[in-house]
Amino acid sequence: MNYDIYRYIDGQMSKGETENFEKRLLLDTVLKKELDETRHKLSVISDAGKFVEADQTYFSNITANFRNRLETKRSPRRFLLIKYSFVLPALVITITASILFFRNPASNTVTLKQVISEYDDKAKNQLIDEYSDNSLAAAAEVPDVPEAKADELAGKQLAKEISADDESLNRAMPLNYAEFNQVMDNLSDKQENYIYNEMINKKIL
Amino acid sequence: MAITESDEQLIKDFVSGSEAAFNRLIHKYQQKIYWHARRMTGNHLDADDIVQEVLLVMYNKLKDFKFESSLYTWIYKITSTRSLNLINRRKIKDFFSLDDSENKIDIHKDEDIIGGIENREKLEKLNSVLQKLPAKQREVFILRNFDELSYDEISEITGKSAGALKANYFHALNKVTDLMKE
Repeated sequence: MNYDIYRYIDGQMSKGETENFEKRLLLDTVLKKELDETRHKLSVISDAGKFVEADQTYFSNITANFRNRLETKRSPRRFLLIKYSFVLPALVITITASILFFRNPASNTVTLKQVISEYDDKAKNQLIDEYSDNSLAAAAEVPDVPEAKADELAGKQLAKEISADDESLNRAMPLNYAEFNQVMDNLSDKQENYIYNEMINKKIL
Repeated sequence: MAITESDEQLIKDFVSGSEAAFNRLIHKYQQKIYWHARRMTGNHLDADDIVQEVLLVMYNKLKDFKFESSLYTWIYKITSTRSLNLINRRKIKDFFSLDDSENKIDIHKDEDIIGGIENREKLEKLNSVLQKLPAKQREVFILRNFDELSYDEISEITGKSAGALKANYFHALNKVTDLMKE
């Protein structure tokens, strides 16, 4: 393509250049023919691009389609948020369970019943004495202290150790040794474990 | 209502929370976005994807619009960038033969919004010419010839100097007129 034709068509010429070019066109038929052909080709292309009838329904629906897409894009995010909201608690539970498992292997987990069953009556008394206060120890050493009184003191002390409140203390006490054994026998596994754990926490065992 | 509202007012209303203002912006610019994308990509489905992508970008980024340029050049910039990205992605896919081109063409014909054999033939002729231009030349040719933008506006959209754009347009015109001879 002639560069002047391009500049003329594209409107890049100054006023003076345009006037000169148009004068040339009047004299130069080859140049004029080339200009006409170029213009025709460009008009065919432009018409093909500019004046195409399209289905206007598509354009009417663009907004609705966009709103739908927007909603669809938001939904997975919400779904993912809900989905992953379970991950953190699950992770915490898993880690905690793992730590507890490895710190307290099954072989080391014993119930209160098992602990007590390893003691004979004498040892049990010794145990009670060991964790009793001075008054109990003193009472144990004095032969004329009634056995019921010693049991009561021992029961109170044990209840205090496992943080029983006053009300439960009143309900549970006084107990003699036989009653204490009976109470222990009637404890459920859950209760036993609770007491055992409390004792562990308070460094009683 | 109020098609004549200024872009600035519509943007301010949208940023203030008016979804209706954004709908009006869509209505105002949807044809320009679609036809620019359509001429760049050469088919309806890709153009439709680009329209939706551009609208999404507008929706998310309009709050940051600084009015340093006109809204329509900003929209053209997004549309052009998205179109060029899609064309590049398509080239890569074609290179690795990830697309079934024959099926794709059939789907595009079924989904097209252009009605009438004559219209379709005209557009196919246009596409056959435009798709033979390198993407950057095609971009300049379309912006200049169909969207009738000035070189300054095209420069704002493409980031190229006016001189470089004029050279690009000259090469594009030469190729187009040559291709029209075939």
